[in-house]
Amino acid sequence: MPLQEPEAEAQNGDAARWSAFATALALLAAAVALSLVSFETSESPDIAGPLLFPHLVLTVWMGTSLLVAVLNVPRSRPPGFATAKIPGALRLIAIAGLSGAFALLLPTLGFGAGALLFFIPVAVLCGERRFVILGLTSVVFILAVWALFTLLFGIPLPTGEIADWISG
Amino acid sequence: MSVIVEALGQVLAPDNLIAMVIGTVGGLVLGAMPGIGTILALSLALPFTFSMDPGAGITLLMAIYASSIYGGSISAVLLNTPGTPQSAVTCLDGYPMAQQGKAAEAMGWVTAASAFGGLLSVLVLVAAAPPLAKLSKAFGPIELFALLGFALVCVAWVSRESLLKGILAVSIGLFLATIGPDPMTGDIRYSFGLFQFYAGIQLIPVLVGMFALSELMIIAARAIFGTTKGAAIESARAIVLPSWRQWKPQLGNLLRSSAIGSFFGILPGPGAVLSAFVAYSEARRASPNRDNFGKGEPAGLVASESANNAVTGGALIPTLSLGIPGDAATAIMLTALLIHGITPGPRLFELNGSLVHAIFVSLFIINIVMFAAGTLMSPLFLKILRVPQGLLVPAVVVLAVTGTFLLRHSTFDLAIMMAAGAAGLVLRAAAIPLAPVVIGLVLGAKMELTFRQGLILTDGSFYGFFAHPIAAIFFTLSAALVATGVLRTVKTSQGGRA
Repeated sequence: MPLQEPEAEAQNGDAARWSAFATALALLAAAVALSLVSFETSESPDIAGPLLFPHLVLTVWMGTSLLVAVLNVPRSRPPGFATAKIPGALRLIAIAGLSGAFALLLPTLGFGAGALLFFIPVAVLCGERRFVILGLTSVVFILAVWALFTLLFGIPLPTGEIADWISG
Repeated sequence: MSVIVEALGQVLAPDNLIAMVIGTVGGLVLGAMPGIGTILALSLALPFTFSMDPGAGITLLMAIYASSIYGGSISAVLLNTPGTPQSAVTCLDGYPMAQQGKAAEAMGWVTAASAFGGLLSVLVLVAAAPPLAKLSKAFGPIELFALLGFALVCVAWVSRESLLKGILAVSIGLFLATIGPDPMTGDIRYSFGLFQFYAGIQLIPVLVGMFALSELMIIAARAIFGTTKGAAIESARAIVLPSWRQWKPQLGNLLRSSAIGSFFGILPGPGAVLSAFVAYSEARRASPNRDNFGKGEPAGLVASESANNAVTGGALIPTLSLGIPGDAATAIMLTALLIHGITPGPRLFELNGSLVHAIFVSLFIINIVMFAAGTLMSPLFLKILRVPQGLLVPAVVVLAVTGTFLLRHSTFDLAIMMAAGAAGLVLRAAAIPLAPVVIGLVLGAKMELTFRQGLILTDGSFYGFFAHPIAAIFFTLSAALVATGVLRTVKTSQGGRA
């Protein structure tokens, strides 16, 4: 299962132990912080009050994250990051950033413009260099999605505040 | 009888039929693409069902569920890369057959066995779900709490090699479910001053972020670092269905494997992957050609494919009759029912009888449509398998983001989705399974409510829960599973240190 179970590949070696160890510690810290959060309740926090179940769950969370951390204590120094991978890593960060920007700007730009502005740079970052195919694919895809949902299912896609403003 | 006629009316409604065809073809295509898979396909479709008629929405998801499992075997046979984890076993005999120039025959066995397994599982679903729903009426809050706890332990137990990581994932999901109003008093908890949390965490943004976005980032990473497994696509112009003479010796294998798949579907946790492995090993044990297994033996294909598709009907049994999803796929379908105001469980059969029957009939027809689509459209799927991942990633992100936004036109939902995506990546990196997080989130509210109601019934004594025999049995089973799993984890860890 080379693509469905990607984490399985990383399970061997120290990198996986470091990952599990660091994540478990972060989760432990989060659970401790959450257990200190208090909120106003309409009744006294008695045995069956609103705090009981979350606190029980947080106790299990803290216990298991501590055990996972203990069982995954790394046996060597953290593995270094290969410098050859830095350009690729930057491209991945850019894809994540573009995805976030697309999500934030979708209400403003609308589906058509937003998707087009997102699709092409992300495809290029993923290694697509056939620009004619890329341009055609992006336009056909966006039109197909629009037709499928707007015309067939009757679900209007966001047109965007800019288009709404222009059309008055 | 009138209920069946009403159900048929719902199933044959134009929007339902369109949803069925789009779901089946879409599921086939998405399942066939390595990296997409059943859960990602369902997560993508889920937000769009919000604005659809409940029947059509559920039909769309069921069609994607059933056909994506079958679609996964197309790439398993032709690329030696299963499109879905459920189809991993299919590689063992499917790819050797393709290498021997028998790709069309292999696809024929896969298509027929998948459809048969799916159809048989619908019969199991029809026979088992209503009695189980009736039986569950005997369950009070304490029994239901114990059952939910047992289901969550099962899900955690089989999710990965480490039970501890599974339980950690479940507890994260359960905690997320406590954000928002308290089920008994209505007090707002863990809102951090954000009014958007007053109604609790929306399921769909979490589902889409955790499953779809995190998976897409991994696909993007593989495209960038060039680690995608490359294999030549074996050309197969059309599917060649096996003749009756070829089928006859496989009937026992087919029935046994379908029964195994249906049984594993009912159990919370194991799901299609395990059922395919068990059915395959049983077929190998019982076959006179056991030495041919792994070298292109059709019996291996029949076993894995009928078993993994038979899981679909089985998995819907606890989902519909008890409201307990056994895996991430059924958790997504449960979410779809909930967002339409339909609560699965014993009352579902009384209040929404026609919808339940429509689900049964739809699933039956979906398997027939899947068989037809698989037989007629195989050359098209072969072309789709060649879609470069550079185009796939932005297309799927666009669908994920747009679908989530359409739910409530809320940018806060998109922020939750992005946060869930980042959390999903971190958890994947630490090999902490995602499905228990989502199932914990889906079941959390019901679990807390039954727990608190139980405490009221026992005057605040948790020991009083053990006075209920059914609950005591589930608690004992859960404790036994936890003990076994912890021992296994510690042994594995010690083995790793040695």
